[in-house]
Amino acid sequence: MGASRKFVVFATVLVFVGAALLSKPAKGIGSVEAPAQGSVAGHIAFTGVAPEPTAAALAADPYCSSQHSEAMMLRPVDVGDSGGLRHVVVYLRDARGGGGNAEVVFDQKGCVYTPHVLRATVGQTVVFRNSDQTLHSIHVRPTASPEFNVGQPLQGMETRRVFNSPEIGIPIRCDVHPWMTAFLSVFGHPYHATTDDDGNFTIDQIPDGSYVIEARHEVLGTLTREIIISGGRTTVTFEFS
Amino acid sequence: MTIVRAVFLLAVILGLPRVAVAQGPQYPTTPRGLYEIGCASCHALDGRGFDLEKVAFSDPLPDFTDCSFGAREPDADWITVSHQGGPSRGFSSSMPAFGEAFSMQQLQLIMDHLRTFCTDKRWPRGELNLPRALVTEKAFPEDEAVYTLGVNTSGAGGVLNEITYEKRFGPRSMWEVIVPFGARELSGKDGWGNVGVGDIAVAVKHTVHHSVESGSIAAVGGEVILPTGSTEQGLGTGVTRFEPFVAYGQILPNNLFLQLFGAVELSTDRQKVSHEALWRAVVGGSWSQRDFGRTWSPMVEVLGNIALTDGAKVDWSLVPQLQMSLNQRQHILLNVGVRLPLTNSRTRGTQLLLYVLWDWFDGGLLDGW
Repeated sequence: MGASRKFVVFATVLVFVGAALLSKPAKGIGSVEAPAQGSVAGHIAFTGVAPEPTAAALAADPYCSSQHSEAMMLRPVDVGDSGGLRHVVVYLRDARGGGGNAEVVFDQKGCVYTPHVLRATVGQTVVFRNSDQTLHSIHVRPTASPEFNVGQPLQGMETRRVFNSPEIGIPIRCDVHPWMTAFLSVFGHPYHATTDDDGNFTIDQIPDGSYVIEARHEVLGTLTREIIISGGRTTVTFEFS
Repeated sequence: MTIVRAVFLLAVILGLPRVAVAQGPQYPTTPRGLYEIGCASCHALDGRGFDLEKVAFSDPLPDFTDCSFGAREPDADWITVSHQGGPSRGFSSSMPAFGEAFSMQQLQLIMDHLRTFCTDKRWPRGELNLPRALVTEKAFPEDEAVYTLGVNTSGAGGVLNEITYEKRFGPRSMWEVIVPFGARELSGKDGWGNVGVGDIAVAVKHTVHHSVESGSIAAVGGEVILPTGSTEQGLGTGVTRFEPFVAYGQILPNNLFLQLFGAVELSTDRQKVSHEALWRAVVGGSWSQRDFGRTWSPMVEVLGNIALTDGAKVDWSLVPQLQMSLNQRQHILLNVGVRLPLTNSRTRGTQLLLYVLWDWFDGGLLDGW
């Protein structure tokens, strides 16, 4: 066999082997197959009689008052038109998994906390931002982490904090404006959500398995269900009263 | 160097706040402007503080125009609370920390404006309230209760306790009551037997000069020592004595201070107790642990006294001591020292001294820990 013929045979074998390797599924060559995943979606309903809303005393701060053309109503139990309950945190209890790396922004704008219910994962940076031209204080009162209270006198100020311990429902308030209250929940996993204006929620990319899912409202308390995730979408409903 | 880099360098040099300001108005540059954006939302433009209905504080807001409250604490304490928040001095957590929003220079400017709320300049400023020494009376009028313990560690055995209660009246004055009680080792007998109250004293003190600009304060006063202690038990002199005195304090550079005291003790029965002259000097300094933490004040007192009789000699003593704050509010203090006789040490033994001081105006015994 001449040298040129040997080269052609070697090259041909190389091409076939390469093609075979590339066309073969990754399984069995040191890689890990992604676990099966599903999601849970649901609705949080409120069937009782919600407390009457009260007007925030915005007049205490002329700037805050100037940011609202109408009275700002405070609804500790905020029910949508469809009967769904807003501001409910839904999460898998005792789940594990990494959290997000992106910063979570907690804004103070128009003398209102946005969002009212904030979620973060352990190690994630929470940015407390003052978008108002008035003094706000960020008074965060956890039990598993140190309490802090930071003054933000200027518009555009940002205070960054990282929470290293999971804790549900950490109260936040502005000591300057009594109506400004919010809640922060810090999780050790990414499987959590907040209900939308209609009381609906979805948690995606949950590994298959059995879980306890909880829904927590700042006034109405916590409801618990057991669910099984087995690919696809699992549906669950909660009813507060 | 670009303008941006120059501004950044200037900001670093000036110690401007670390908190990010993405956009919006710049910091005011005047003391009043800084007070308005940082403090007035709760403490009000006039410094009187808003009602609790208007803010979310759990405790009533202080009235900065009240000189009896506003004048008695030094700038450093106010700035600590502003920088670190209320809990740093055992106060309400509703007082936020502004250490990320304002530089130390800006906080000092705010303090300058806050000082304008008390318009009665008769009240001595808290900066002139120098640390209390173990023996020397200071010039600043106080609201305090002090328990002092003295134990003879050589010579004749003796344990002397003393409770002092001081209360201010008016901008510059105070009165005090001193109740000594203790026990002395029985001479020529075994054990301890002479237990009881000593000679109770009452005194008044009035500040005649104070200037935070020059760092000086002076006071005059008088004390009456009553013969309430038993002479047989060695707990009293049996003679009423009058003690006019002068006291002076001076702030020195580098957190140091000097205090001077002089008095004449006039006896109503010179056959039993002679007149006596006494003078005292204290040199010390105060430093805070980790900028805003516990305050330590090492001091040395030099004490001298002489009986006003022919042939009398001066008794000199040296009292090295260390005062420290015990709680976060720093209104409970401990001072420990030793009184060392420099002369006539055969009849005057070494004495261990300590006091626990409670600045009761600043809060209860259990507050601020």
